[in-house]
Amino acid sequence: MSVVALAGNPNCGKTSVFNRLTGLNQKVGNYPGVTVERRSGRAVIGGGPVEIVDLPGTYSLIAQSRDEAIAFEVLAGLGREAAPDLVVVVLDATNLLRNLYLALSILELGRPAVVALNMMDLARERGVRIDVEALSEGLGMPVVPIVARAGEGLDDLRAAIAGALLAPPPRAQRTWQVDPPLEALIARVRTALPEDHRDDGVAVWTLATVAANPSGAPDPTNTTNTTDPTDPTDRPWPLRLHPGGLASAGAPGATQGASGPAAMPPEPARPEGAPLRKGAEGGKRTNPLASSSSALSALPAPLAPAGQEALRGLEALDGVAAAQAIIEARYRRAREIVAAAERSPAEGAPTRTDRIDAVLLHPVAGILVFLATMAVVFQSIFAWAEPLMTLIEEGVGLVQGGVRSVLPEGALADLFADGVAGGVGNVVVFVPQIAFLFLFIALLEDSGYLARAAFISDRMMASVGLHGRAFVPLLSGFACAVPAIMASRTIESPRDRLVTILVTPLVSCSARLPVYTLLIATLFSSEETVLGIFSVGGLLMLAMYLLSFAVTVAVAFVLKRTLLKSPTPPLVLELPPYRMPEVTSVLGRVYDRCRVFVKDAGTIILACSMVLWALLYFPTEAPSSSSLEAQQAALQARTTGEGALNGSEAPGAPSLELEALEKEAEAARVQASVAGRLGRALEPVFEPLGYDWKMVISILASFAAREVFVSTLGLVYGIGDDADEESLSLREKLRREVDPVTGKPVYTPLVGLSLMVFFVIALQCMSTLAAIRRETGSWRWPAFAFAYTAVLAWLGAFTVYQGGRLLGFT
Amino acid sequence: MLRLMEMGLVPGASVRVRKRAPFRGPLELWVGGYILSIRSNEARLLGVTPEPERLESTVVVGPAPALRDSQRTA
Repeated sequence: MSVVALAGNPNCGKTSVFNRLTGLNQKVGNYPGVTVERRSGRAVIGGGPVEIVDLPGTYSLIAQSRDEAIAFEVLAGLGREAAPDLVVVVLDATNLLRNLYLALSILELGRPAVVALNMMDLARERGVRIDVEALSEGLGMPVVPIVARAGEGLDDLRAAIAGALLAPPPRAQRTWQVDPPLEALIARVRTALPEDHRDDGVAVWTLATVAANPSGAPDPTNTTNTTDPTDPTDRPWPLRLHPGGLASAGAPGATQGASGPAAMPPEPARPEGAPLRKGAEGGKRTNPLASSSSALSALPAPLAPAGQEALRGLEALDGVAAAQAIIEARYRRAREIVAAAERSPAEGAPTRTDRIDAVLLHPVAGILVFLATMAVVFQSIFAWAEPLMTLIEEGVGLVQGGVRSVLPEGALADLFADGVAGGVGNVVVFVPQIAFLFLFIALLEDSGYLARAAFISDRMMASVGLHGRAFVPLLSGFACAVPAIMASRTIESPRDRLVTILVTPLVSCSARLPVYTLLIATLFSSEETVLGIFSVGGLLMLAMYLLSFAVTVAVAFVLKRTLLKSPTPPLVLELPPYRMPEVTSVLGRVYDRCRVFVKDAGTIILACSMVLWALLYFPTEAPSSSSLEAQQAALQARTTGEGALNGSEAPGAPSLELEALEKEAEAARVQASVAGRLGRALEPVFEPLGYDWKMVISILASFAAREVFVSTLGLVYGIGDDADEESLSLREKLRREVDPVTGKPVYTPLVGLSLMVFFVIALQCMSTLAAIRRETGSWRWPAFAFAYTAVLAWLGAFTVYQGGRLLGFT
Repeated sequence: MLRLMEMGLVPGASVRVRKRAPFRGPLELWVGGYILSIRSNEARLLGVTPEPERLESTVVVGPAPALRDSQRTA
């Protein structure tokens, strides 16, 4: 089957073309080993099946990010899949010059190509006239004008694709030139390429990529580590060279070239194009070369020798100036083509986008619109998803009831009802929030507002060292970290994305609310007020949110300066023209996100749910199978005088008593379970925080989801797992619980505060860990996030509890 | 700042500042055909000649960090 790759700038309408060509016949995955999304689909073109691959939208192919590296590798056939048979380069007709820059870099790679000139309607609207013939002549490839959103010209495009697949157009040649020394270097790099890729375009790319990634050099604006051990995927992009690799001793480029490309020093005499053997220049620089060769392995492996050749040549030429010269030459050529093919009016009347921006980017109105938009997004995941989530929970309850009525009572029924159905419920319950969040992100993105939101919030985010694009994910974290972590995909820089992912769990999500509510309602009087108007409870709640905010900002700040040290990413953000979002494209993306979550994170969550269930369930020797045994156990419990059992006060109500007995038995079982024993074993760890082993069990169980803390406390105290934060009997029980040794209450306001601080910081949520695993592609980062939050949470709670005791609180 | 060049801020290109985000936030530039947003410290790296009669400026020098890069000492 023929493979056709779609390539183009972001916002050029590439995705519309992809949707038009493939219909709904698409699949989304990742490129192997990296977290760059690979979208592909099937289409029938020219009577045969064709696979269409939608490459990541980029402004350039010079690899400064993973997206660009992937796009290049696919186009050059250096990835794990064969090179596409045909490339469809999509151009935005309203922005021809910049789009042509990328088009030229793609065409230079020599693949057969067809150019789709998209957004002809908008161009016409603006009075831009494009001579398709002249454009085609300038590019040396067939050009088809289309309007992808309206489906205009798509048949012509299909015909052109079919034609080009049958009889490929002659391969494009590079149509620009740089200074002779640089041309000579390109030729030398070319000869160092492997035979099946010995190609001028690949040589230019290799040289430009090596030249554009001069890290290791003490760039004043870039203090990044030279090696990249913290890279979220296993492949070290962007390319990092060894310190001194470029500016090694004696290289003239290190001290010269300050006056730009024109002053590039002449090459040391060497026969042009002669293959240069490794170490041909003698022992002069064996060391830096040897060490930089390991860094060069970051290029696609077959290109490493050529990369080394480029590096060697760039010691004599200035690296950055060389990359600049290539970029400028390509832009000059693009400008020539535009001059020949485009007639545009002198910038005239304000466009629709100008008029909308006058409001949406207004210093006052703009901020109000921004806040209102974010409020709606936040409201959607916080409140609108709620009824759906309740519905799902009720549905899960029905299924559990059904399972119990079909299977005989016992471990098997418990497994299917609580373990499996409960676990599936734990996964599905996130879908409404994910769907709502991505619905809004897709709408904002397609309309063009998401870039404006980043523009407006950039000032604030930059003060922490993050990009404006980190705002939406972090805000979403207040509702739920799972969709928020998935939303971090809109952040381009891998390190910033990682920082955002790692701090998102610190944002106080809605699952923490029941924990705060229970503890505040139990331990702090609702009548007490501060200054007569603020209730203590409300102030404590506010304090928890402020603490969460402070910790989030502080950790982001620290991560950006230590482990994931990187400069505040430059903001280079296109603000695309406003457009009406397309329904199919928006809904398609919402569906994709939900599916990816259920498939990738869902399996992990399901597995963890079942393990947790088993930990709380086994061993089952505690009396629960027969009511007789339960009664005995309960009687025993009563005779030893433990707990004030309501049932004993109402001997005339045997069913009530039996229910109470069962719950007591359940409590005994949980206490005897693996988790219960673990709770006891871990008690010493948590003792300095003021917690007893019953709280520790509940903390362990809350790993399923934080709100489970409340229902597990209910279980442990024999109130049943339907206890919630409003349940009075649970509050009573907690207040009455006394320490068996000292006889003092276990739950003091200080312990409550310590617990709340622990919950503010600790990453007590397997679903979040599963989401981090999904988005970073390894277990390394979820493990790190879990560990650092655990340590911080312990320290925070320790400080509160021990500090409080020192100050004389009990 | 090769990225800025690749976005079209090459010598000879015309740019115009359209807007500025609140609280001294990023700039909004018109770069021959589209709107680009960059922060002021990145904009400072561009050398421009103002052309008051057209309310525009022309990029004359390539973005400056290139110069700084080449002045570095190993």
